[in-house]
Amino acid sequence: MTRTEIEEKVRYFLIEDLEIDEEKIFPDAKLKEDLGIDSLDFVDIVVIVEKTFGFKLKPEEMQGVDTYSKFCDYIESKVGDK
Amino acid sequence: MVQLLRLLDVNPLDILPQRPPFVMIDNLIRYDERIAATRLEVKENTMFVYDGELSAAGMIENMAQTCAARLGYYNLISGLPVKIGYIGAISGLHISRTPKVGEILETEICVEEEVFGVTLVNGKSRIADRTVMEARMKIVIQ
Repeated sequence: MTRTEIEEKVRYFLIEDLEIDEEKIFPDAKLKEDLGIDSLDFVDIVVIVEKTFGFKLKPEEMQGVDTYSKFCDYIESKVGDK
Repeated sequence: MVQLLRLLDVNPLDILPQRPPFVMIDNLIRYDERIAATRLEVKENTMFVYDGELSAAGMIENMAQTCAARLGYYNLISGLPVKIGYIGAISGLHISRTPKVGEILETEICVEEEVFGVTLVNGKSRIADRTVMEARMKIVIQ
C-alpha cells in the first residue's frame, strides 16, 4: 500500500468514523490536542485499523506517535510498500 | 449445563459494584472470555420501571451491568476485587420496545476490543428470543 493510499484511508476514517473536521487534519496536527482524539476514540481506532489495514494496533507501539503524520508513519511501517 | 448451574449460583452482589436497589440483573447465564449474558425479571419495584414498563434508561443500565458482570465474574474466579466501571459512550442504540413488568429480559454482550482500560462491546437484549434493544457501548474501567 502506498503512502498516499494510507493517508487517504486514515483521513477517511478520521472524518467519517470519528467525525473530525477535515480542516483540522494536517501533517503536524496533534492527535489529542488538535484532533481531539481521546482514550474512548482510541478503542475505535484499534478496531478500524484492524479492519482497514489488517493488523492489530498495539498500544505499546504507539509511544511517541502523537501527530497525524507520525500515525501515518506508524501505519506505513506496518503495511507500506517495502 | 454444569457451567450454567454454576453461573446461576453466583450472587450478583459478588460480581457487581452496584448495590440494591440499583442491581439490574438477576443472574449471569453465560460467560466466556468475550461473551456474557444475563437475565432480569422486570418487577414493579425494579429501578427505572415507570407505568409498568422498564424504561430505556433501565435497559441501558441493564446492558452496562451485563458488561460489569462479565468482568466481575472473571475477577471473582481470579480472586480479584470487583472493579468499578462507567459508561463512556453509547452508539447505535436501537430500542424496538421496552419490557413490561413480569417479562424476562435477556441481555448478551460481546467484547469487540479492550484497550487502555476501555472495553468496546456490542450488546443485544431480548424478550422471549425477540431482540428489543441493540447498542454499542464503551465501558471505562476505573
